[in-house]
Amino acid sequence: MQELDAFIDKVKHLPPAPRVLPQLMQLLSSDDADATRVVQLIQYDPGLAANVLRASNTTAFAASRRVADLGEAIFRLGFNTVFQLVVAVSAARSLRPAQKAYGMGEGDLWQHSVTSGVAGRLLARMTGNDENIAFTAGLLHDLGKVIIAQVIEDNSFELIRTLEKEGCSLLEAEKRVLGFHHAELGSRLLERWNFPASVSVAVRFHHMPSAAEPHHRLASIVYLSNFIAYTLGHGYGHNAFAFRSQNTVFSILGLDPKMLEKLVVLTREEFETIETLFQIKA
Amino acid sequence: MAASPSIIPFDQRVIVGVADMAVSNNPNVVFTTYSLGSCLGISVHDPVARVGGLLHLMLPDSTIDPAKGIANPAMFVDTAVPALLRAAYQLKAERSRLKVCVAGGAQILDDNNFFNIGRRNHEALLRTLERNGLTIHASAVGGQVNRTMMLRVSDGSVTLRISGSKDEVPLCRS
Repeated sequence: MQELDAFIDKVKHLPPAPRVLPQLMQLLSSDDADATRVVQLIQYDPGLAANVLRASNTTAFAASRRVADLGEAIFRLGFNTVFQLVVAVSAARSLRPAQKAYGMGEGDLWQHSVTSGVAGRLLARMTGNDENIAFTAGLLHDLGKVIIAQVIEDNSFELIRTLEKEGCSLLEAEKRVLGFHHAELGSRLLERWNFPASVSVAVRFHHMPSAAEPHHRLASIVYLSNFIAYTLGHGYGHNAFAFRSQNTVFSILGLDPKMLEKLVVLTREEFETIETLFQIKA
Repeated sequence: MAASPSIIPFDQRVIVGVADMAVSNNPNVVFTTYSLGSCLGISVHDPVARVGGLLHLMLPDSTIDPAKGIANPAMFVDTAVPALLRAAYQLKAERSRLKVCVAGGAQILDDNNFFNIGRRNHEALLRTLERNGLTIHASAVGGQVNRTMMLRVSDGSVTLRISGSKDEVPLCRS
């Protein structure tokens, strides 16, 4: 923990803490989540408010009259869509830039993250889990890479050299080079930002979901979402496939492994329907 | 009087997206497809008709979603490969002269897992090509890497770029 905190504190440009998100998640889990309280939360962040309004006026949702009021926008888009938009807008600033240490150009990690988020909410719906939490965990699962990439940009090939020499996974290579891996680091940052334990634990164990009790179902969703995003060819870096297989995710989620290819097709369809919505202006 | 300007031939770069394909008999065309992970990139080229095509497919078998296979044949091996061949034959390519190259089919670590879509893609491709009387001229398949594949229609040369290495490597020379 101290090691992770020390590393995080070393970073010059830490991603801005998405202050609204933990509060919004808390609101989501309470019984009195109504549009007025959501408006209160997001109206003072011009970036968030503008993006919610823009989304409510995209072709998918636009009626004859343009929406200029946040309350009406939330009514038109629905609470879940607004929540997921707020998550995406909050994360976009951190996830958009190139992550050179991982061989990802500008927008690559962003695209991978949004695709994982979309796969996550689809899987959550199919398996009776909370789709907003699954979307959030899917979207933020690689947050740790943003921090690592800032620090080791200068010797970015050390990870790949280790990985190729040892034939190990990216996670194992990070552990050998840095002493910890991106899942631990991202999880720690989410803890510091007061995200619910379900999200930070699922992020920490997204490469080893069976160890994530009691949040192993969410961690399994994130593992599978990550894999589906790679299968869709979205946002690769170097050696994107260098991770271990976790066959148990299917039994944890009660899914037939034969469904995997169908899930890839369904995620692609879902991604296409919301692509315009999530073209977020930073 | 100044000399008349000489015309410098230029490449016409065409990007082939995921679950998409394209063919051409325009010798200036260079096809490129990015982000080949577990997906397969398949190029065909007839050096006599000077026809080339590139396909970027995702999954082995359209029986999981037959409607999708009809609407978007380039997504699955069993619908994509026949579609690519038909398009090339329409431009006067002939099967006996076709050179087929393959790249992609990356795998996550560990064998015997439920996630081996890359390998299933490759196995399905071999079956489909055999059924169509074709063999693979050159291939770079498997591993954990992400590849970019380029086909030059003028001479049929195919080059690869692997994420993490600076140089392009030839897969098939003209």
